[in-house]
Amino acid sequence: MVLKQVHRFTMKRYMRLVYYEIFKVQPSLLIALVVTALVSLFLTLEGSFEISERQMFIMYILGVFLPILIALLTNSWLMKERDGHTATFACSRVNLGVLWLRRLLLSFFTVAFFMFALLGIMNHLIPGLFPPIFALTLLVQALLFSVIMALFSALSCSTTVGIIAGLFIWVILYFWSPSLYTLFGPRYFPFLEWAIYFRYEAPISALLFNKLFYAIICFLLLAITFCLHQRNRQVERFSRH
Amino acid sequence: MKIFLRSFTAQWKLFVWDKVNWLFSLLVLVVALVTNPISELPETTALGYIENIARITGYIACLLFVILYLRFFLNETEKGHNHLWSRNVFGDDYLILKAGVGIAGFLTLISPTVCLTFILSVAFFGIANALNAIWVWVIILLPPVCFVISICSLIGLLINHILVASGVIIIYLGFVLTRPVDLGNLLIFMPTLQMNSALIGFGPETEMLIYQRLFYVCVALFLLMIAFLVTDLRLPRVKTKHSWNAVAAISILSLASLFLSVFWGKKLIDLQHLRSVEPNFQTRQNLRSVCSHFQSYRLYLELSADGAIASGLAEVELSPGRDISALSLLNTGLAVDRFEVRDGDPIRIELQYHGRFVVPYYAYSVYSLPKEIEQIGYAPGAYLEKNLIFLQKLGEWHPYALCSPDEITLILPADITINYNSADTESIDGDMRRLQWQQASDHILLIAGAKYQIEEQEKDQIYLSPNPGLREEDRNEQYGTFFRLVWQNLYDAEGSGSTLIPLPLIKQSYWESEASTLIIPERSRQIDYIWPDDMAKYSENVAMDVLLSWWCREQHCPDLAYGLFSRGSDIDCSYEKSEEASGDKEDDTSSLPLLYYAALKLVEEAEVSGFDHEALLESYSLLLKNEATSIYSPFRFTPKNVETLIRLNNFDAQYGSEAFWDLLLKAFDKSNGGWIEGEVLLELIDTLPEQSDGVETGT
Repeated sequence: MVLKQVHRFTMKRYMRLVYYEIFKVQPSLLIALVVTALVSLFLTLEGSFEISERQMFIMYILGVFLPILIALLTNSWLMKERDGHTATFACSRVNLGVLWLRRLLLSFFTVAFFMFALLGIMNHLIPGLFPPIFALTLLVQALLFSVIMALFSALSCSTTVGIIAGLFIWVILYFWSPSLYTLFGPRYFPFLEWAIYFRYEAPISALLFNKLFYAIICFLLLAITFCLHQRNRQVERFSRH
Repeated sequence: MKIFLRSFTAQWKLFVWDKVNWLFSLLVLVVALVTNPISELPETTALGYIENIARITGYIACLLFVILYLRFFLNETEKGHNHLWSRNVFGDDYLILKAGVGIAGFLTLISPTVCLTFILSVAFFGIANALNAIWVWVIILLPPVCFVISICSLIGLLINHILVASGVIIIYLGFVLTRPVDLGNLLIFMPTLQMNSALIGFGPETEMLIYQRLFYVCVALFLLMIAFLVTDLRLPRVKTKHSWNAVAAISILSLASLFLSVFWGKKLIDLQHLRSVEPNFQTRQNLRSVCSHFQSYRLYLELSADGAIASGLAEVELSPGRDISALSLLNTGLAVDRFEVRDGDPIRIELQYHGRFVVPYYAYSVYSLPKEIEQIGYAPGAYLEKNLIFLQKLGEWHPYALCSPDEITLILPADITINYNSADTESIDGDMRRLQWQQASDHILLIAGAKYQIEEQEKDQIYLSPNPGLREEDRNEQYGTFFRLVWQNLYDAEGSGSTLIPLPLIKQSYWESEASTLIIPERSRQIDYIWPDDMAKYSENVAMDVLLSWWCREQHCPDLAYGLFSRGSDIDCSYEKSEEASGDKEDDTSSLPLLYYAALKLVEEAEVSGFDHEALLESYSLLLKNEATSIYSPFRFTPKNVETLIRLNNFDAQYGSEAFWDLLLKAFDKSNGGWIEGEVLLELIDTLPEQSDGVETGT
């Protein structure tokens, strides 16, 4: 049986919650973002590379590797409770679907803030290095892999299954990227920002369609995952053991 | 030991009973089946099939296994396992137990893939070939898995957080795995092999592959030893006093693995230096101009049983006033022992050398290389290993590689099987065989040591690799057909008693006329790239290769071979560009449409399904009128080439096949270095019918 209590949400409580969720629940996300920022800034300032090489390397990090890293880290946020056998406690205060969505949104606000800041600094150091819209578009593939992992985790009630499934899809997309690009073109290529600066030389005009397409997929998967979590299967499964 | 084995079994059961781990097994199986469909098995070899599956399994498995192994490795370090850590034995054996179970667990999880692959290999290639290819699994897959387990153990211990540790390792592995570099790079733990031959296996890459694998096994052991050192610091165990024996054993193992890592790494880098050399075009150009000043060039070569050059001696007599001291093109694996110049008329030069022949990377790379490298063909001109010895007349196994030797004496162990040789004299003295060539005219001097199966077809002989697949049989049939057709059309003979020999590494066929032997490339990137998607186009390529071997039989013309197979897939663009640039001085490539048209005639005569001669020529006519925009062509056509092709077609239509083949023979007589001038060819087209029949031309 799931108990629910109504709490008054003051701004102070809300800020404390945000602080808790960002800094206490998953500090590794912040560490990963800081490390990524340092590496990207180092590459921006590294004079031995041509500008085009720097653009390619930075997009390789931000567009290909960062999404899977973010997905890996965010996937454990809700599962933390399940793996630690404390989902029942969390569930007594808030619906697991809401808890998952809240954490996911908070993490993506953090990542978005980071992207804006990072691209802002990089563009300040080398004007015109990247289009500012990348701060938003880069979030899409990060969200995509996060939602794929979350969906499989919710379906299987196992963090590891989610990670393996997400990682597998990423590996397939990444290793077969030349074939994918040839087959489907830039409009459906999942790592488009990288492809723009890589040898594919994808047209930037494909960005809008590409991101809209993947954003729709993301929201679809997000809705399914939310519904799955709302059924509190984590707790039910746990209580059966 | 008993306790260790019991713990090992218990841990292995824990690992294997975890249902999540079998998801990994399923994914690996799916990827193996999807990337190597059963329908394509007849087109490959057992070695190629298993190497491909092992490599893809390795790529996918190494990344996914990180998650499973770290989860398993750090399982007992989480809360709730204090009772286990209270026992000293558990802490003592923890690392070795986890690493061992990691390897055993990995093998268990990939066993469905291995079993299925093995069953398919037995079904398609026979039990002997399937068993022979098992070592490929071991050599390709085990070192990277050991490396991944070691690095995961070390990073897992240091970070002690599954997600962060797996994120760090996956980023590192993902970055390293997609680097487009070859075997010699020390970072690459999962190499992509360029060579895969039914006759010589991984061929020139075998030695590097072995060094690379040994390097990674030693690195894995060294990382594990470092992990041992940090176990006391990072594991929640009761600290105990270590015995001196254990400390000494760990220290010795650490030092030994470090030393061996450096040793194998150094050997790998040294070999990579030898292998990564590129052709010296300046020296080649200078040498080519000096060859004509050689009054005599004699070679004496002694090979050991493993194919190494035990002793080589080149004696040159040179017109005075020439200096060839800096013109040696000797292979980088060979060392010069003595270089002596005796002045006089003529100048006498002696160069003595020995060593192991190293095939450079550019000579067998499957990737496209710069035009000037592609144009020189298989420049090393030899392969000297235990399982195959072959020598081309012109090659880097002798110092003045582009000059044709007047006399060659080769001594090799008598027990090496001679598959083919063009020697003038042959004798056996004790346990050594002596072969001698005087003014050798054939391109290929010797093929020995290969385990060919010889198939007799009427009077013809076809050499097959030890495990010929359907692909090899189809290819031989195609080559055999076109070989016969060339004989029929050009010599009005059946070409009976001919021999077909596939040879690895070479890039074009060789027509050894005296012996009626066609030596064909075992696998050629330029010829086979279209296989098996379009049989008609593939037949065109084979016909062109056979014709080219006939055309180049008395001269060395790899640049023509490059020109003929330079692929004109972007003809729609190049045609326009060439037209714009037609005013500029450009190379005369008139041999190309002539040989191409002759090849089209052969394909038409062979009645290859899907080939429509008229439709193809019609599309070229439209291209000339700018009414067609895109057309497949084996090489880059210039407008001049298209025009020549159409004129050849008109000529053929008007005067018939016999006149065309006569034209080809006449054109061959007028060619120089494989190339014929466009004007000469057009003059032949216009005047030949008049000369032969007195028939008025109306083209």
